[in-house]
Amino acid sequence: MPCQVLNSAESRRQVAAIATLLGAAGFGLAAEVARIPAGALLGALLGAFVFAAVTGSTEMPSRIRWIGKALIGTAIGASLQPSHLQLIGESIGVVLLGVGILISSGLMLATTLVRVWGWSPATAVVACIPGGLSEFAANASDYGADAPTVVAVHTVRILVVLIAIPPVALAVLGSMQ
Amino acid sequence: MDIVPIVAVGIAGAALASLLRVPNGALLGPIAAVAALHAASNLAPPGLGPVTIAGQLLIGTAVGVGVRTETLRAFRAVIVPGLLAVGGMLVSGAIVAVILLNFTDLPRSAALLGAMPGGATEMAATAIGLGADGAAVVAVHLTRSVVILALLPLAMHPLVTLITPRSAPPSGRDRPTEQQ
Repeated sequence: MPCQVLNSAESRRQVAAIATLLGAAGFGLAAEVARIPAGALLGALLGAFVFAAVTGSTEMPSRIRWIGKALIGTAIGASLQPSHLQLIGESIGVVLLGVGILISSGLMLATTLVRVWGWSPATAVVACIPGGLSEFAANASDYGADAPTVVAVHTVRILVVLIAIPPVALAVLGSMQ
Repeated sequence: MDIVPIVAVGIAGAALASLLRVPNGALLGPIAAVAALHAASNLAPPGLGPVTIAGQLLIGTAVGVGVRTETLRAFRAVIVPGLLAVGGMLVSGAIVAVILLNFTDLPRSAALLGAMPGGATEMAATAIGLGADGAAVVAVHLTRSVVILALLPLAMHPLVTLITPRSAPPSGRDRPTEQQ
């Protein structure tokens, strides 16, 4: 009997995950057809959020993200040219300067959060330095940071960037041509 | 060259890199494997439109499902400092974008999207969705990720000590205060 209950709960989770995946794909394809900038990405993001809330699906198999990364990596690998490596090699000094600026400004922000809002220094530092969300989510506790706060800040950061940047990029790049 | 063997090589590259525990191996493995195949075969790669769409759909889904109500609730509890942190990172990203635009020969899309604090995979997917140079965007993001993730474990203690007020402990698992 407990086995059946477990199987039933597991089945419900799987059905919810599949429904969320299909709903997200539907939103993404609709946005792509509507020619929204980066529509497949943004549409799927919105669709997944809506369908996850409706179906109660809070977990997506990590393989989904893994396959997505592999497909994006495949597309990038097919477009990679030797000139890219040369270009990055030539620009590496300025790129590293940029990284230094990001880290320095992150530290200034972290100091403000500690001094003004009383955040713990570890939480403030990990929340204000732009690394990968998944890496920070996994490591926040190791650094003595408050993981829910760190994940919340980085999630909102990535959401804002993903939603705001496509139209901004099109406007900026269009105005420079 | 057909699309199927390219995707197969990409997936194999991702699997191998993940198996070898290469950081962000699922993204870097296929880049290396497909680029090597491309160079070795000397054949023009096919249009990978369906692959890029599928990749964007899956990454968008993974991000969207990760936005849970409890995450937003946690953010709401620290809304003012949280917005300051997010806004500050965006402003510093914009400053770095201007520097990259003016002092490098990077494609403009790579300078802009490479400087934005959105994560290598997400910005690569965005670049591809916008028809920009995804390879250059990834290269800039990977440089940032490698520097930060390599330095952070070493630098964390000195940084925490640096910004800790003298009367407070240098670190702790206490949640930030919710005073706005």
